[in-house]
Amino acid sequence: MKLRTLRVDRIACDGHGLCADLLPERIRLDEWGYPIIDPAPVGGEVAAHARRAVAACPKLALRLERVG
Amino acid sequence: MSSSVNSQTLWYLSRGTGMVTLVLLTLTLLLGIAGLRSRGWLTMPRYVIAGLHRNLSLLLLVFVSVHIATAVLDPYAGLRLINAVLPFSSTYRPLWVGLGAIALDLLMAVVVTSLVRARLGLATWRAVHWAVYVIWPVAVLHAVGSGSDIASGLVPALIAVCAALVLAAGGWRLLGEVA
Amino acid sequence: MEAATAVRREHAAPPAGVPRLLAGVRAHGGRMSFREHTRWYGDPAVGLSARGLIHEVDQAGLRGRGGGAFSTGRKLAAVASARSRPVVVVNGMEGEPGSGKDRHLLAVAPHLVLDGAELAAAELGASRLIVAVRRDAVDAVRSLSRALAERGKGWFGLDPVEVAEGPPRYVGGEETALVHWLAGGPIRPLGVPPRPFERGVSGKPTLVLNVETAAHLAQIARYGAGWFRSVGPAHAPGTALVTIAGAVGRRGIAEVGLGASLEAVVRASEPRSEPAMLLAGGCFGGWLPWSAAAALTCDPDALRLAGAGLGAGILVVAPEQTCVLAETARIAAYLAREGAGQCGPCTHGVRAVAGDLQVLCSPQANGLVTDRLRRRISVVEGRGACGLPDGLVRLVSSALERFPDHVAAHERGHLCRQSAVVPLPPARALSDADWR
Repeated sequence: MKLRTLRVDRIACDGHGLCADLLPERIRLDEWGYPIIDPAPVGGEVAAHARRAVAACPKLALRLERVG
Repeated sequence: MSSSVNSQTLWYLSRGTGMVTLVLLTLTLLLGIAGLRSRGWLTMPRYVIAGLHRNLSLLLLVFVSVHIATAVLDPYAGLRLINAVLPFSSTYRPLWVGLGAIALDLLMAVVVTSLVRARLGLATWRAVHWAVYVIWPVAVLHAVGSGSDIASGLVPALIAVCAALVLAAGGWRLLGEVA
Repeated sequence: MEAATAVRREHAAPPAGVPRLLAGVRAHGGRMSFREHTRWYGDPAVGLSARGLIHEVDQAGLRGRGGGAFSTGRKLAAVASARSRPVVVVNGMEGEPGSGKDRHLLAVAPHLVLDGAELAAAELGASRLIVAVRRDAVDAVRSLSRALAERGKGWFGLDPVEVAEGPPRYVGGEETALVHWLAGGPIRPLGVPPRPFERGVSGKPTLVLNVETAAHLAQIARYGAGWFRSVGPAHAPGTALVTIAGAVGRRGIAEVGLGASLEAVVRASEPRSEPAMLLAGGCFGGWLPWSAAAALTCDPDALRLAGAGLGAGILVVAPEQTCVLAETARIAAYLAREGAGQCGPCTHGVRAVAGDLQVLCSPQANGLVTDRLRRRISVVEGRGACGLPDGLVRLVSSALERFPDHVAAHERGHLCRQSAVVPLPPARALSDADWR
């Protein structure tokens, strides 16, 4: 099982917030609607939800990247 | 076996699924706009709207497939499968059936690009997705021109309601682009 | 056009002590032409160690003088290891409002800068050499054009050396913003990865070298790593140019040895009264009460540890009547205007922080505002594509942590007199043209 981390392209991100809805375990929104992402690696059950969140982003700003 | 009864059944089935396709197309378009321009709609969060938008578009693919299949199977109009994708190639009402083919081709492009969006990149996906504003009116014209009894019953009222909703939502969408 | 062939060096000896970059200018009494420069310094490649420029710079421990203080040797090596011919960009955009050292160096000693630029370009086999200057630095632009005309094909036959006159934006000096603009876009930062040394101008690996760093590089090539390390601490050797502003009699550019006592540097600038606090590092630095500052040195690492920084060498000497919160509010408003507007947390956050600071300087100030301000800076930190929000976070943190009594007074309703010590350009709404 490969570990990956979530990263957001800050310029692409427009604060739509779908990611926070789909992955509340790792993403919450600041007072302006932009994602604050937990840097902990994503694995196991969370990974499937993370992939959904990545696919759902209207700006394709959320990425799952390999650790290291 | 009464071939004329079968033919009639197929024809009604084709028209029926065609109307359902149009309604689903309208709903899909409305949901697409609602997802884009709002933080949620009717208590649905955006990812639910996005999911519904996606599922309805796939459902409409099922209905349009039945619509085409029954139209082709029905011997009355002499339609072939190729007429569904090659515009203006049919012998029966080539203009109106051809518009349907155009709508279908564009729809295929929109669906395929959406399925590989992550690989394609946002700019290309967005450019192709604008085609939905062509698909909808072309589909309506196809509906109006291809059927023989379009003027009767609920059908014109249904089309009018869909048209009003799409115009309103589309206008709101374009306002968002300009603003 | 001057001949770049072997010329008798009149002053072969390397500068002893400080100054180094400005020593020639001072002795000569002003800007030297290329012929005069050549007679003074000689060919920069003569006497260069056989192990090459990159090795020498790496041994010398030269760190960037643009604010990032990153190892220049490592940057050179990274670009050198790329497979395609790189582009070398000399960064004279000097976005920090309080800084004037780069334009000064280009005005009085352009040939030192160009020597270093050409050395780097020749060593890396660069396909292009671009000198980027902010277009409102008229003296620098003029001096640079003259210098290039004087040099002709320079030392290595690099032709042409391109000059790019860029918009004077705060973020204009940021590497990716400069690369973005050189590629035809607005001067707004790009997200990393990729960093310019991987993929920059025209998709090529790009070395972005600060103007002052290039000049130091030219001297390292001539005098060697050992000489370079003879001034300054081991982790930050050499001299640096600083811009001193505030309540001092001798404002402007000074060259200091890294590791020099901050107190000595400030006193040499003849403060008009006993300083109360120091802004070290400009908008990317932090506030230091004078008692703390006087115990510190001009050392980028030590200052960073102390919650401030050396950055691009900006030191603002602030007298007793200065209100650290009002000054920080002014800087925050400036940063809010100059933000690229690309990242939500920064655009909204910097504006919100500026607003909170304004409230803290008004009769409506209270402890809740300070709490909100603390929460906000912790949320904004690290969430922009560039370092702008992080600089503001550091500034605000230093103000809140180092001046708690003053902050408490504000919370109780104390109102300070007008304070405008930090040099900032006048407020102006920016349009799209201002970014191009």
